[in-house]
Amino acid sequence: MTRMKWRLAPKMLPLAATVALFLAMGLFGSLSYTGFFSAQVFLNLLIDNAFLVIVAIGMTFVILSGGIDLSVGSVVALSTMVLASLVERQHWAWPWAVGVVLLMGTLFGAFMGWLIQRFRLQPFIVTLAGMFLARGLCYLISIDSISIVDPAYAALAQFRLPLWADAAVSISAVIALAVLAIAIFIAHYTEFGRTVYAVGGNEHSALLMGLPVARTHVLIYTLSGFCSALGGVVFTFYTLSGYGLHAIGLELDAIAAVVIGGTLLSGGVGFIFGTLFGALTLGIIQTLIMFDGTLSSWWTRIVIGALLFIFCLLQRVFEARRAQS
Amino acid sequence: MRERLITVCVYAFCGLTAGVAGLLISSNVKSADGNNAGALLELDAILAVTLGGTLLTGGRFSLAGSVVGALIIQTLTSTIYSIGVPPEINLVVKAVVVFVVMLMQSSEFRRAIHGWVVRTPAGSVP
Repeated sequence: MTRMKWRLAPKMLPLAATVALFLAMGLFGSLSYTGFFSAQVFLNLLIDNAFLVIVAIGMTFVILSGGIDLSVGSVVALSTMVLASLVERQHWAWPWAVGVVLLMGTLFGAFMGWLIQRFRLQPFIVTLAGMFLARGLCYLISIDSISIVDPAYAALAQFRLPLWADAAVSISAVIALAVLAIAIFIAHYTEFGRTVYAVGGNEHSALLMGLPVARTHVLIYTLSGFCSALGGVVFTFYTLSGYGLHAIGLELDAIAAVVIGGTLLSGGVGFIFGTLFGALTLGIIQTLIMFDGTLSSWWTRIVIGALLFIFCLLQRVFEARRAQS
Repeated sequence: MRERLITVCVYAFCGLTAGVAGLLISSNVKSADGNNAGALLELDAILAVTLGGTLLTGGRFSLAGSVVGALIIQTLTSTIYSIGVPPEINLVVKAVVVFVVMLMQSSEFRRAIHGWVVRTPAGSVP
């Protein structure tokens, strides 16, 4: 038993590094800035980054399978655009609009997954083309921002669930946590989840084991499309508008969250739980820069890029060490 | 073959050409803009290269083809501007062209088309 625990340790190492980094940053912020160490600041990390957490969870499945999905940011933008135009211009009730948006994102992901699987195209190119297609479709709806003023929807977006004292979470944070719980269940306790890991580890041997590789490939991108659409809905809670320039570069943030969360870009190794901490780490960088007040907000991008490089290098070190032992 | 050196050089050269392109863009518009200059240019670049006959899987390339591909894209863009279609449609058209070119390069797709056009004998899987 102890031996088995010992053998599990290297697998958990990247995750432990991420959690340690997050805690160190939290400690640094708490010591440096007054008012940083409060429950609400940390809850705000989850509230403000709920859409990133949701999108990154979908991305985790894609990267675990050894693929990549560059279309997520555009699908988020397209979702905000479709939702805003359905609610504001067509005067639909918001539950129907949300349903249509989720269905659209899911079908978009399924279409790309089908192209990738059926015609053996590279995920990188297919999802890049999907990214531009979704971004272009946004501009077909409108080139201007559409703000959502529907009172029922605004009330939903501003709803706060009180936890204790004066700390509260928004509905988007609750959705993000629910998605996290369901994703952990799917990844570790279902046939689909195990197949994702197997495909990422070695697609050929997964095929030889008789696993449903083809179906899983399509389902992975379908799931990512659904998560992006849900991320888009949550994004409208945050901004109450639809706009074709929303979420530019979100795919980078999502990939960064996944990689910083300890998932290997080569696939097969990683945890959904790590992605939560990856996304929160990106959030805490933003919060630290905000609290500092003297740096431009573009430093967030620079720091995230640098951190991503470091974690990619760390991944190679971990891999090399595993190969040695 | 010194694979590592070649890989580094390839990316360095790509960075160099991107830098030259940046100089050209900023001399054209006489300004610098970190948000919009060259935004979404990746698709155009990839589209030009694939239209020029370079395989996305690597191993076969044509520099002259890439130049022709770039000219085709610029023609497409100018056409869209001049025939009065809203310029926003540009991205959608380009994305669709990439999808089509990508599918035409896929041997699986060509086989599938062949299967649809040429009737397969009864009993065999289409």
